[in-house]
Amino acid sequence: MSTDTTEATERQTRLVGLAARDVVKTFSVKGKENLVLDTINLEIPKGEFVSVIGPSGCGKSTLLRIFADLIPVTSGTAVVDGISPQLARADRRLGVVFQQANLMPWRSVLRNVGLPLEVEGRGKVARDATSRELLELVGLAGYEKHLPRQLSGGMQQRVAIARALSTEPDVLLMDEPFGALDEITRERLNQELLSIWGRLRPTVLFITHSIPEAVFLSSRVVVMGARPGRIVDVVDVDLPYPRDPGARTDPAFHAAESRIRALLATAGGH
Amino acid sequence: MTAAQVVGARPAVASPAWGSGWVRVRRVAARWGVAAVMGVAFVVGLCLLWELAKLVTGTDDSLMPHSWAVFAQLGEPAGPDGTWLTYIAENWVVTLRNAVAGFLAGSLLGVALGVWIASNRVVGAALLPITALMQTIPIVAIAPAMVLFLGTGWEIKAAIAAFLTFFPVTVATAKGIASTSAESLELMRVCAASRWQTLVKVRLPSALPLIFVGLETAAGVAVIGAIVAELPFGATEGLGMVILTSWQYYTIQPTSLYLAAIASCALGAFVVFAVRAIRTLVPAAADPKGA
Ligand SMILES: Nc1ncnc2c1ncn2[C@@H]1O[C@H](COP(=O)(O)OP(=O)(O)OP(=O)(O)O)[C@@H](O)[C@H]1O
Ligand SMILES: [Mg+2]
Repeated sequence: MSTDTTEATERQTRLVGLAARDVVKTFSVKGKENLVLDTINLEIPKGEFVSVIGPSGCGKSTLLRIFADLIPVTSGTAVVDGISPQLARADRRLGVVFQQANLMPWRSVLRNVGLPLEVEGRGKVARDATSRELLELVGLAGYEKHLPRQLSGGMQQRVAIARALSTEPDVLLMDEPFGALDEITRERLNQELLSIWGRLRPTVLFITHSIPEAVFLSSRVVVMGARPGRIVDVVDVDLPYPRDPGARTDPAFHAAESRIRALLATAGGH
Repeated sequence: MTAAQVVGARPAVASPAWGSGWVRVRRVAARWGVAAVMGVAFVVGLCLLWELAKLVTGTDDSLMPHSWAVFAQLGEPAGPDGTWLTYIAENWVVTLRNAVAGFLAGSLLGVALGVWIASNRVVGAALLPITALMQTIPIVAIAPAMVLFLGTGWEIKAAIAAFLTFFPVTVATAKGIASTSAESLELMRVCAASRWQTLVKVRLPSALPLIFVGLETAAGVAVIGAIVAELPFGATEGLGMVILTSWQYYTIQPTSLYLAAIASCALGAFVVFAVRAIRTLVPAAADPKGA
């Protein structure tokens, strides 16, 4: 494609969304150092949607937790939205969606979505207005007063996404957010997530075990290998946004899928 | 219903989450209704057992009066102005006040100490064993010492009730807060929440189910503490005093001691049940384990 070189230069001049530079992470378990992330190097420009895929235990969540400032790096540098993870978190530029929806069971759906805004000190009226808008965005209008346990797993996960979006984060970190959902719900939420991303344009790091999900959502897929956790390769997905379900039958989609599958096979099982 | 309908229908907005104030009031009223019915059934059942035991063992009326004689006593005069009913009721209210005052003070103290223990490992390691040890001190042994400090006013009775309340509440709060899910705490961290916000918005609500378990236990012992506190000090009012007086006149009028005992049981049941009723009003507390 002729735009290839211009895109590459554009990538370099754009601001950093997420970056890992020689990031190493070891955990010491019973005095034994366990190398979990081995010299991770990754550059994600601001506003890009990138997925991470790799065998279980290869350190995907660990990498995400480093970006979320939940754990420190052992060595190297992590950059979030051009600054350190600590500063980005303190500046409330982060939205995180975990594998479990992790809603407060005693809070209504509306108040769950508004929790980050409440922490930020936003007034109740503004908070509720924003939360209502977001619930509409994720297709849950009318469920404001429900309790989390009155919703299905997929609906709860959408509440969690609305909550992560409530502070209009510049960086969205998602750790297998749709892992527990059935294929149909997952594909619908993929579509919804892409349209939300198209509107708000945060930098997204999306962890998944599903190859089609990774390909459908992202402009690039980071493939990781295990023992020690490392980046095997980064696969470009040559499909324009906005994408619709038709993209799944595009030859470029299949090309990316088979490339990732091949990489995972050499990375040591999936 | 056809499959298409099932798929097409956006799940209709079902019941609202916690209901209006009116629904809550009705829920509580229904609880008290059930409790009253069960209380009456319990008393009737106990009376039947009592009569059966009396019949089988052939115990004399002076040792084991008929159950109806105990209730008949309520109508009889007690002193110059009033019947046993008013006499018991007045002292019941006095003990209730002492127990509730002590319970409230002890609970507040217990929650505060529980929060402190949970938020500071050193404090926890130092204080939890001490609070556990304090619990083993027999209340009759420390009560005289407390009289020295506090005098014989109603405050000392409340203080003894508070003393007994505070331990179970402290332990329950500390355990409840420690049981807060790590994921919820990480979420608050990502939001850059302050310690205070995390405590109020996540830790305490997470701890509420366990705190209420502690409060229910505490409610019972608070009543016991309030009654015991009225026993040894030549008290002039309260159920403890009634028990002591009736005991002295047992050979003359055995029914009054049983009446006092029943009133004490009713007081304990009342306070414990009041705590349960409050629990139904608190969403986070009524939702154990967040299921
Ligand atoms: N707090 C910790 N202490 C010690 N070891 C840890 C800790 N967290 C993660 N690990 C180790 O780091 C490795 C990577 O864990 P991580 O959760 O990042 O994997 P993952 O790629 O997210 O796996 P999955 O796909 O199963 O979620 C694992 O071997 C795990 O045992
Ligand atoms: Mg993981």
